[in-house]
Amino acid sequence: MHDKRYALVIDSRKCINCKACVVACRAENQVPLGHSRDWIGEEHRGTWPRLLAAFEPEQCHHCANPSCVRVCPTGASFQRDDGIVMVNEQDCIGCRYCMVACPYNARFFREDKGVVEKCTLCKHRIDRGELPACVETCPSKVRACGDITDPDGKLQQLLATREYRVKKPQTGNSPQIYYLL
Amino acid sequence: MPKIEWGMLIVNYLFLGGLSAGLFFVSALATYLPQREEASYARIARYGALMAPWPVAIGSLLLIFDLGSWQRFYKLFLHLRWQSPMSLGS
Repeated sequence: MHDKRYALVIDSRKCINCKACVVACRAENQVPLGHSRDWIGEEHRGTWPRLLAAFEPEQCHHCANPSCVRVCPTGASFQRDDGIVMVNEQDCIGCRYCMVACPYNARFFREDKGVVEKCTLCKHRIDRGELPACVETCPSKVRACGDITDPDGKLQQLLATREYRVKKPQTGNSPQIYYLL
Repeated sequence: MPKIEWGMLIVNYLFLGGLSAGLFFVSALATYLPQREEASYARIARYGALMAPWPVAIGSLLLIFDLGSWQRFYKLFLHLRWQSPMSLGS
């Protein structure tokens, strides 16, 4: 019997930069202005008249080997059995070491609370059997969230259809957002 | 350019820590190296030892107040995480 692990599969080719996922996340999680738990990376390539704009959603990758959890001095940064990396606000002292350690700049500091925050994969929704807000709201069906260890699950089905990559694999963090190529 | 998380408070702490270490070191040299009794060596040893603890004490306070939730700084000493350099340092 295996432990389940939540992951995201992202089809960036379908992303239209509508930012509905950013808005949904902010609304669902009361993210304050000036910070975002998720964002759309923009890349502009080429020269006029052959131009290309590529959009790629980014957030916490809920890595299998998270460096942010390793460096946390109080253990406030921890990983659930299902792979979701969380911050325990009672134990967080706001030293921001995890922010320095994250290769994806996924974490931010909340000045009003004095603690560090990031995407929680909407665990409150997942625990109710719902999808994260960003996944549910995407009008272009860019995102898929589920159990990556399930051989018959929708994530494995998607990964079987196309080549995919993860970001910054050289860090050894084993990130769990898979970007379809 | 990534955002800077550890800024001037941390930089000052590092400087003050080195300052204290230097004061201790010079004081120790003046205590144990001289072959004969001499008032100037004794003075160096004495004042060095008296001045040495204060810069790093102030630096430690700066370190505590740099924390986002400084009132919880004691948690650094409650948990030991072998893989965290900050935990080992604490």
